[in-house]
Amino acid sequence: MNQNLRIVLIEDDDIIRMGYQSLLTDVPEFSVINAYGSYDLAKKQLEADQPDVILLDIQMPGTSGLQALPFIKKALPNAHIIILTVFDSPELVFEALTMGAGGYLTKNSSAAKIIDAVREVSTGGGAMSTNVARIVMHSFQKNLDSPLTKRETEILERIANGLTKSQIANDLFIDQETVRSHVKNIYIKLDVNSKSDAIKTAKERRFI
Amino acid sequence: MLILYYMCSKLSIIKVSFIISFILLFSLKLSAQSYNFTNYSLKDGLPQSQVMVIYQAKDRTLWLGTFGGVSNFDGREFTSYSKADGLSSNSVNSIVEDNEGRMLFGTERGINMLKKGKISTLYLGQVVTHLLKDKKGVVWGLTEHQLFKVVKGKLVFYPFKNKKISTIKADRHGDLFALMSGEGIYKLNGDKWQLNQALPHEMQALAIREILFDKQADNKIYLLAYQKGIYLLQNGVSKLFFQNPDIDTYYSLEQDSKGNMWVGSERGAYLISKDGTIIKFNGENGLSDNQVDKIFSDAENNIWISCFSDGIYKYEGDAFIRYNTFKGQNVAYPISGIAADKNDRLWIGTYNRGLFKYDGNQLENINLPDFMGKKIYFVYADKAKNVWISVYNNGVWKYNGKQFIQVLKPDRYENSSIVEDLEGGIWINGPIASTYLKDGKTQKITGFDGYSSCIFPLSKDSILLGTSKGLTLIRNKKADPSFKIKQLDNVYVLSIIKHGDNLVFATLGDGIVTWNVKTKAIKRYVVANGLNSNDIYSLAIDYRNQLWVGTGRGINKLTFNKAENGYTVFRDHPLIVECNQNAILPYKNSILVGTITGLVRCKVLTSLEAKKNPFIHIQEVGIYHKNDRSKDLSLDLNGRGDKFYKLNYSQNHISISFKGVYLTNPESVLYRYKLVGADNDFSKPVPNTEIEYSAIRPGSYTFQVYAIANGQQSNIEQFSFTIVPPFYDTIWFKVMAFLVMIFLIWLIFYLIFKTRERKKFQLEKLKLKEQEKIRKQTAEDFHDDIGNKLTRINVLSEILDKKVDGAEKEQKELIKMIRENASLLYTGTKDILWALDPHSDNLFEILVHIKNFGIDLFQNTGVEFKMEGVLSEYQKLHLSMEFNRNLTLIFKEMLNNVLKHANASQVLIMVIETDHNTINILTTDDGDGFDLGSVERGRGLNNIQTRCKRIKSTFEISSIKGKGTTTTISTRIPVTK
Repeated sequence: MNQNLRIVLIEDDDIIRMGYQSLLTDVPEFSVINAYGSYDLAKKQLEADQPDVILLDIQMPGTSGLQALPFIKKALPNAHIIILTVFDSPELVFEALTMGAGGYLTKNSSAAKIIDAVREVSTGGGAMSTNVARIVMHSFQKNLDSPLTKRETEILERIANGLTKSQIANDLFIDQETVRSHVKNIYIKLDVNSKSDAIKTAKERRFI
Repeated sequence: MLILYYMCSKLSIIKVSFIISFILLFSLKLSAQSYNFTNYSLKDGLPQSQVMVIYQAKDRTLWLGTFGGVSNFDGREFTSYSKADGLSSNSVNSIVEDNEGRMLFGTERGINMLKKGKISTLYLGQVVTHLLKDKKGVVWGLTEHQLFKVVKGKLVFYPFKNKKISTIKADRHGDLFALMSGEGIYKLNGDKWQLNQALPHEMQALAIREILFDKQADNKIYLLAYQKGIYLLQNGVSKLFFQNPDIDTYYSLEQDSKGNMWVGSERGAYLISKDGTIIKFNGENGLSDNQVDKIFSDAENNIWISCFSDGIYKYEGDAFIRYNTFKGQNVAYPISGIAADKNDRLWIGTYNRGLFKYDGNQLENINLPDFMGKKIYFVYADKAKNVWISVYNNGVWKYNGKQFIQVLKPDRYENSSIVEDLEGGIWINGPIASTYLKDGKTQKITGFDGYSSCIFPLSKDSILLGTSKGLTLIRNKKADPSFKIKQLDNVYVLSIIKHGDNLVFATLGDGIVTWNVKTKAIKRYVVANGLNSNDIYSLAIDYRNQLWVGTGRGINKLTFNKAENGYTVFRDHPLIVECNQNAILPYKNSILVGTITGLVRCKVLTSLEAKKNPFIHIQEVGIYHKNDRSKDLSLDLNGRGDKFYKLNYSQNHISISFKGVYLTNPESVLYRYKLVGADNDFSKPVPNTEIEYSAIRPGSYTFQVYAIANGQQSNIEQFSFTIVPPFYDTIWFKVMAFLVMIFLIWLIFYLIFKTRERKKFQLEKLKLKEQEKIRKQTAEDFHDDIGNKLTRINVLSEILDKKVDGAEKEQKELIKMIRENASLLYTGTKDILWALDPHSDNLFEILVHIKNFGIDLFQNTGVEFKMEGVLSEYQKLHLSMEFNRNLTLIFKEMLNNVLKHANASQVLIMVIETDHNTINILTTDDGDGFDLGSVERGRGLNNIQTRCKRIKSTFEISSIKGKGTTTTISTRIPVTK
């Protein structure tokens, strides 16, 4: 049971929270340590919870998910945060990713997808949905000074086109592990380079 | 008698008859009438009493050369120049005006020149006795019997080889002639003097002083021999023209406009008429007994006579003659009445010497005791030509041609006026009562205001009474107070007469008043209209229907001007006499006027001579600048009246001074002027000689003025000028300024309008932005809310799915459907949000959206989905929201169809640019294809068709069973290359 992944949910909608909690608990490797209705309610306990993965909503009463991100990151530097929200506007996506979110999922994703993403993130990979990939690509397309390497851009492109990791791996004649690490790198780059001009400009360009 | 014989023996018979008639007539005119001469001497301004030369300049003024300098006479004033003004000598012998308007004076010491008021010396030397101008304008003269001409200010003598020239003269054509003593008459031909006529032998020894060329006939030359008389040289033959034993020395010679000759002697002047009549003028009859140095006929045909020590006399003609002695009798008494009896004898009443009778020969004083030495109030002839006489303190007498009958006995009041009415009754007025006599019966009428002074029969039953208080009508022998002429209220009426349609009233102090009996119009004439005085004493009408009035200061003649419906007043006679009330009578072809010193006889018909007009010229035009004195101008026009002077708009104060010369009657000169451009008509006649206009508005004007005198008009002189308006006053400027103003106003409005528009626009934009923000916000919130709810459904259905056993296929299916639909709803709302995003208004975004949809749709379905041809340039192609929505829905439907029914493994969408530069979108799948005719698919395809129509695109579909389906949407989206 120690190898179970410690998951914390921060989601204000009761039914969704309880639902996800139930679905995730069903997964053998996962243990849902706690589920909070808001960050404000969570923050006292969070450290004590020592989660590996946090599923974080954005629209919450009190402190929003994006506002909470840096705090969580600070308090729990080793935790992986997946944003799980209704909305995936480019602005929010970029904001989340550059603030250190390890993944961004929309709530209409199936339980399977969510479980998959949690696994990915826990192993250090990046959970990137098709749309997020598109968003990231779009922004970087406009920017010639993209911090991504060619390979990373290729992978990003394919993700944007809806290919699965295995499909990408087949396509590029690399293995899935490589794909995963590339995606991780992309995330890291997004995070590390959150203050970089490239991303700033990309942000600015989208966020008029 | 002796004289006659002597004359006969000397001359030819033709001449004898002439001489005889001459002598006969010569004895006649010794009647003591006074001729009319007006004298101008020192007291009038003449600088010295001896006038040696008279010259008339172009402006009609007279220049008189005396021993005391030279003087210019304009009819009223003398302007003199002497040594003090620059003359070399005060003794001026000859005068001429050159063609430049300068006066040259020949004096004892040479020639002086007067130009624009300044005297300069042309030649300093010996005496210059004669100056004359030839046809070319060259001035010739004589100095000490030598002939010279003036060339460029210098004297050039004509070489006559020591011959003496006694005189030079011009004939009526303007040719110059010079008389060489003892030889003959030379004529100037161009530059040369050539002998024209040699003196006949008998004349060569004569001392000839003057020659005169006949003004009416050529070849008739009169020669004045100093002590011998006047000779006529005609066609080479000389004969004695005039000689009088009474005359010692003949001094001067002139011919008047009628052709009569005037001769000046050492004692008066002689007028020799064409018909031979000779009149001697001397001190007894108006002229002077002194030596007549010069006689001059001026341009108005007046005769001027210069008398030693008396100055000059102007002969006024014989239009009127004053009788203060008559036939040896002294008649210089105040005349109270004049009448002509049955035998056409004149009866004259006086105020202090009784009654006189004139039978054509003798003047007889009626020395009947009833009349002798008495005061006569009136003398009147009734229709039967009985003479009625009112005697002081002796009643009224009637003379029937044979004897005197006393008709009215002396009364308390004297009878001063009388008239016979239309019924034959006699009215005799005293101051307060009227006596009516008819058929032996007398009747007294009283009841009128004031003292009666004259009577007039108006109609059968009416008599007009003129009183000291106006007019009273006596109707049917009774005073009728209802009749009134307002203008005559309190006016002293002295006489009444009917002339044409007018009743004319002579008043004391109020001039002449006329009343038109038909129109009842009243007109008044006073001194300003030309009358000598406003006191009118007598009225009479001559046989030419002219109205004569005797005033307190002379006699005027009035003619009725039909066109103006008024009278023109003539001031022909400069005689100043005080006339007496009702002492006037039209007699034969004259009017006899009784004055306070005798009778004046006025000729009704003055000799048929073309009356000369007065002459006017503008002397000076002063132009004054509004602000700058230094810009004042003084123009001397010198006849250049047709040039337009340009003046600055500040030079709008102009004074014009002019002078009208009418030597015949300078007192009567009046002026009429008009400023063309400002006045419509000429002004009323005024005596002003200077007119000022101030503050004249810019424009073009012509000032015109002419003089009138005695009904004659002078030339019209004019001065034309243009006042240039300042630039801001011109039409152009005003129009421009107006246009600019209009433009500015328009501009202001335009700017106001534009700013408002812009504000509105900005406001609109702002509103729109706000709206969009709100919309987006609302959509987001909506989506958020829906999204969460949908997620709930999703999550719950997943949980349910887990709880349902895999064997329960139906339930599993239902749950799946729930989840799918929830998912569709989710994406649907997202789509709405996407559609509202302004960034998604271009083709690129739309295509990308479709692509993403496709990718998402076919993800994990095993179907390979590709979309190509989505170029980022398409961001520039902006499309409406409607287009956006419809196109998106089209593809959603189509791709859904493919997924559900096609069973394809590959789906491809291609965006192509056509040859027409439009966009086409091809969708191909390699599925089963379908039968186009089948109804099942119909509904979906119809939708697609409708939507395509909405976006103005065409939809084509081709499908082959087993091979797949291809659809083409041809849009009209233009692609700019």
